[in-house]
Amino acid sequence: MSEDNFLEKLQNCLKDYLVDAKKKRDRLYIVEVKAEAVDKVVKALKESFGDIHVTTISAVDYIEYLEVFYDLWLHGPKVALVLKAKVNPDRPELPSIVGVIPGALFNECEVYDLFGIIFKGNNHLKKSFILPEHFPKDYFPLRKKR
Amino acid sequence: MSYAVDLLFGPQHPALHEPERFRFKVDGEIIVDVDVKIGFIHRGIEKLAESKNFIQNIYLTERICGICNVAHTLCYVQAVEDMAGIEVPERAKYLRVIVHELNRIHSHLLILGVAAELLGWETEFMYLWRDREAIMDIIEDVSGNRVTSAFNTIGGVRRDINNTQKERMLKVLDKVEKDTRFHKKVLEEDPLYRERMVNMGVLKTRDAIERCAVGPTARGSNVDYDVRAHDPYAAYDEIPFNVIRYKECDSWARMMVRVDETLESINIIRYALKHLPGGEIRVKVPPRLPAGEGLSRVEAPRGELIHHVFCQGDVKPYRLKVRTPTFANILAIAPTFIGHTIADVPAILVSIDPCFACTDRLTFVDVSSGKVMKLSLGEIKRMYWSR
Repeated sequence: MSEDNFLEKLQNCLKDYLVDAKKKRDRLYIVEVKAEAVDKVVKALKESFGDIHVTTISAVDYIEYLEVFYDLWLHGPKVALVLKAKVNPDRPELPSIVGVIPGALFNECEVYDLFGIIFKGNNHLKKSFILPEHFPKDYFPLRKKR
Repeated sequence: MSYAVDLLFGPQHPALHEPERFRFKVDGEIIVDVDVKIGFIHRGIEKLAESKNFIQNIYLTERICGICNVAHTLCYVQAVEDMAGIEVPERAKYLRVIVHELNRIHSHLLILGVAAELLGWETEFMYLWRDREAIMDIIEDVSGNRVTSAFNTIGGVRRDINNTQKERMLKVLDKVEKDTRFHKKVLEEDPLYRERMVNMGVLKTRDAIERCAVGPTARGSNVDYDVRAHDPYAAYDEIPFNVIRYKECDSWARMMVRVDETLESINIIRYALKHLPGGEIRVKVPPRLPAGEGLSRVEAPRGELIHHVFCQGDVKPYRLKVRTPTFANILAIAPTFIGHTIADVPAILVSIDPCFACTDRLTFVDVSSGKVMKLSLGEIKRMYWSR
């Protein structure tokens, strides 16, 4: 599988969940999807393009909203994909992708610990995954505001 | 009466270079379950980076890891260049490759030595570290520093290489290549080394992909993923080299990937030195950069490393995300301990290039009833060691 028409294929594959998709440079695409469908997006990507390597999952706090990003590598077409989803900072919830890619487990736990984003379906989320055990349970250090 | 005992490995041990804690559930000598706790050296670098400017952050990211410091600075400056759309001069790209590969050779020889030492083979440890020392000398010759080389900067590199240094480097590389070939033969054939490493911690290709293993850990399991080849950065798209893979999927394969990569790195450096283009080594970059985001992934000695930078048109990044290779590999390797004995733990753990520690405290679980008892050392002595 090559990179030719990858953007087109991507848009076809994710058309129900897609908000925006663009090519940043060779072998790097940035895609924004609906937050509630992240698990379905990853599943659809896996079915269309083969194995997915989750490099990292993290978030950026833009005060009005939290932007969760998934840095993925698609083994089939050999392209990198940044999957983005906006969530409400007061009720930050997303479906977990651990069921589709087991390797995402530690990444989701880390995001929960540092940002307080809940990945529904991941039963291993707990505070103090990476922070010290005495760290305040209601404080998420990488958020811009408390 | 059958007991499963909780055996804690870590987080503190004199041989550690990164603290982690593994809680093994052992039945006799055999490991039946494993639980990992990480984060003992969480220093809040991502948060700290938000309060420092782009130049200061080069030196901050360099200190994330002393061993693969070049990989971290390279990844960070590439991410910032990607964000700001800065074109790096050709010569700087080649110089980056040279120092990056020197860093890889030193890291691989280091862990091969540590592996030998953990298996009680101190002679091989000394020989490997002797050869590594020659590489450290070249790094000092090129960058002025032995460990934190401070070589990369935004827009290029900070130092150039002249012809005298080039010749010195080639001479040392010849010697290191000869020695590494010798080590390869030794590690391939030594019966005791094979006994300890072959069929230890088998990570099947499918599992390595599913659990997102990276670097030599993945390539030792025959996964075709090397960032240098598949998502080329710096000058890797112009340099021919082989992606090393082994089909054995065990600890031995992961160590042999490192031996072969050391030889491959020597060839990459030779090619880069021979084809080193002329011209500038850096471009000037303003302190305030435009809003946007930049992403860079590099193949650090331990595997794929990523830096993701976000900026809002400031002198500082709005957010910097770093994912180091060991974070990915710990999850991949943890289940492979099951079924092996306690004595095999170092042999498996060292093969992903992390750290380990020794027993801390004991918890007993009665396997039949599931009842947990915590016993002090005094109680254990009275119960089991009294004559």
